[in-house]
Amino acid sequence: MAESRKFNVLVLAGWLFAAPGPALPAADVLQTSPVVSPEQISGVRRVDAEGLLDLVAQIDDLTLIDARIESDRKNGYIENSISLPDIRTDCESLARQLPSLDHPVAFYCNGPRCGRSATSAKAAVQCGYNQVYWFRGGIEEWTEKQYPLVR
Amino acid sequence: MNIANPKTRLRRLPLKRGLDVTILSMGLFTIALIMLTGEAYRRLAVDNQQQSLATVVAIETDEVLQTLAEKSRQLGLDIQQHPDVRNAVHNHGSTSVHSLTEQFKRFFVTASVLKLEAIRILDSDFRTLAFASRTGSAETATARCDRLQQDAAKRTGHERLRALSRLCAYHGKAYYAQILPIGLRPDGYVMLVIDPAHNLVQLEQRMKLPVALYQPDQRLLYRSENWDKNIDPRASLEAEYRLTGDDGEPVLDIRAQGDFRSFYERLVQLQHLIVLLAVIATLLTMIAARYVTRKIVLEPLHYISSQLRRTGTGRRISDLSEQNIIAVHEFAELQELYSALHEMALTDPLTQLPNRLHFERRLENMFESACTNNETHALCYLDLDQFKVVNDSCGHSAGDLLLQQLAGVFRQHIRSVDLFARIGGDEFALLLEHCSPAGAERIANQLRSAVQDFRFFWQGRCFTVGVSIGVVPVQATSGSASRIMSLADASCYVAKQQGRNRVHLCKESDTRIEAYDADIRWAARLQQALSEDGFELFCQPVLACAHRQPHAGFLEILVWLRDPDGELIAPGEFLCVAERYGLVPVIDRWVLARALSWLQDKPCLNPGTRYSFNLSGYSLADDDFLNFVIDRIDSSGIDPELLAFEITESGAALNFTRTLKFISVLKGMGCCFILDDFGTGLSSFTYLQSLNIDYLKIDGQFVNKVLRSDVDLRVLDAIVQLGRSLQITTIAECVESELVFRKLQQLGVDLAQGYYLQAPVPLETYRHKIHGTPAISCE
Repeated sequence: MAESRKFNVLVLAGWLFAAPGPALPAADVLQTSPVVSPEQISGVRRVDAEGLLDLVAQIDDLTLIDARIESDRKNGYIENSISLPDIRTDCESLARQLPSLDHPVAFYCNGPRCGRSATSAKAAVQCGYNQVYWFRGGIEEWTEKQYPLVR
Repeated sequence: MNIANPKTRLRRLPLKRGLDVTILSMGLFTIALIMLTGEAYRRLAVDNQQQSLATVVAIETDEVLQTLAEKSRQLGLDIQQHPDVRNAVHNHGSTSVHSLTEQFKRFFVTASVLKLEAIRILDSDFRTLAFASRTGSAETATARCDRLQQDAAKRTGHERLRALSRLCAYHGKAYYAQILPIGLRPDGYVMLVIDPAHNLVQLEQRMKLPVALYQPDQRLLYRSENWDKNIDPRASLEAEYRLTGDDGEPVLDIRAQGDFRSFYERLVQLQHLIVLLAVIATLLTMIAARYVTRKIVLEPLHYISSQLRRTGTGRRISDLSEQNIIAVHEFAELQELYSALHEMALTDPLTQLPNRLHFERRLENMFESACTNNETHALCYLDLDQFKVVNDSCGHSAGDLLLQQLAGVFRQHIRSVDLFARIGGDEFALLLEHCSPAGAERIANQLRSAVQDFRFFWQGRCFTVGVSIGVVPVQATSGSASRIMSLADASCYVAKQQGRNRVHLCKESDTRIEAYDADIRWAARLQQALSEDGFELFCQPVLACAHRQPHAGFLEILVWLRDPDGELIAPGEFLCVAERYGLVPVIDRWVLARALSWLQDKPCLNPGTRYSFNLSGYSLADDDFLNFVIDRIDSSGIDPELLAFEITESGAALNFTRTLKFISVLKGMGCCFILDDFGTGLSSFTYLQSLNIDYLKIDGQFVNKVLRSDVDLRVLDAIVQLGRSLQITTIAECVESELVFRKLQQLGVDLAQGYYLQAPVPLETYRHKIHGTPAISCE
């Protein structure tokens, strides 16, 4: 009894010292694509998490689009965001969400290695929207900074 | 007085027991040390276990709290998404919020993983808009963990969007509180207050150990069913982990009981094993110490003391190497003691020369080597010649000094390989290794001349000494060490006989030595006869030669030696030896005493018969002898006129004055005196006159040859004439034939004695013989 206890303690201690740190959240681990988003996209204003929060605070009618596939949403999403996966993003689908080309819109996905939000943002620029914001850090940066997600 | 003080008692403790006690106490000390070490180790082990257990509890608790945080965040998000909450926040209407209390209650019910205590809805400035509690009490819903509310309010900007949580105590009870934003701006906040004990109870399953939760005031919140209240502190342990709030105040105590029994049992088993080993080791050490002590201390000590006793009784002591006591070499002091003892036993204390014991051992070794290697060595036996003079005239201290100085003289002439020993009072011996007899003789002569050149001064007087040396070869043919020794003794004697201060080399078939050897054997037989009454009294009559002779005859008492095998030996064969060895006076006394007591017992036997006794010069010279004779005559009651004594000229010459006194005293008593062996010695007329003797016994060699030699006849005739003119009766001895007897009659010899007349017969049987003899008279 005591023997097994002692062993457990040892294993535990060993594990503690061996592990480099707490495991990353599952959402980030899922994205294993080698795709890396470009630093900048012409016609698109890139924001970070705080920039996004400022936009939310300043612009009442900002539309926040979650470019990920829908199944990703069940692990949490930024409040008030609309799901529009990049593969379904075109001028027509955008037009359904955005009343005008001047309507402010922000895109995000899982993070810098996600690429979906970049695709969507480019599409929006091509469709002629002129107030396109891109939260490049995505969910990865959001959770890292401990901002709330909803489900 | 008899009570021994502790010190003496300690000293009397036998060595073995002392060792036992020391080792035993050391063993006990070791065992005690093992016990103490075991206890210390046990404590250390328990401490380690406790620390490990505490670490486990801490890790598990943190995990539980993390889960709790996660669950409560999800619950908070669920709540803040509820439309009623949204409405309440957006409207800032407290009244409408209050009405939502009922709605909140469902969260208490559904949140089975958490035990929700209270929910608060806060506006964007962290003011409470609405609240609900499990108990329904407004106070518990609002007051708990209000510090968290204040802390959350202190944050600015985007910080406010982050969830904030903490543990806090309220009225001694622990709570977990979390504030979550509502919306992204944020519009308001949800604050959840949770009872963490509900989740911490899971520790019991997670760790599979009994767990107890206590409030900071030590009130019990929860305790496992299998929690052992009567914990055995030796076999189990408790670990405690204290949860604290952010500002450090204690919030909750978590205790876990670890099972320590099997570990403890193994520990105890190990301890017993070690104690057992210690006991065995102690016993083994004891045995080993006893053995070692016996080998290196006791045995050598016993050996040395036994050797000491042997030395005391004069027996030989053996070499250390013979006994193979190697250990003694490790004991320097013992070895010193032993060598001192060895030295003492083998050294003559006066001259510091080797002593007799040392010499004898060396001689034995030498003889053995001579036998095995067919070598020739030599032994010189030295006897000082004039030592007695120095010793008698100047005292023993002078004698000692002389010996010491002589030892110094000898040392200068001795090779270091040779052994020069003092083996007696003034006797020395020299062993010469690998030395031919001739070489040994040369060395002996060197020694002799060195001694001769030596002068001893004592109180203004100067002495010279001589030394007689016997040299004997030591070789395989010598027979034995004791044979060599007696040969050396004999050689030395021969050297003395030859005139002292000379060297005699013993050669093979040395007649002198052999004669000496025979003498020695004779002397031994005589000594034995004296002590065992081995003599026999004989008598031979001296008879008148003619009827008309006025001189009466007498019986000469003779002493014969009886051999162990019964054979009788005539006095002529042993008396010379007896004289040389100074035994004659003793024999004289024996004869006189025995004969007188025999005559005393038989007063009626041969009344009027006279008896003559032979006396040696040594007896005459002895002052006590006269007293002895008078004493014997007086006590026997025999008429002194019946006694005659035969003396010789050489005997009288030994101490003439004393002889004269002897004769005059006994003649005064009526005894007669006979001068024996007349004609061969001095034959001095002065003696004849001054000794005042009554009879003259003519030596047998004249008597025997009276018929053949004209010279002897004339000598005999002259003696007879001399006797007649001096009025001394003449006696002829050794008359062995009738012709001789007739011749003696013709010459006018008064008395005759000899085998022709009567052979010597035992005194006991004399009477019968004389009656049976017809030739009692000369007719």
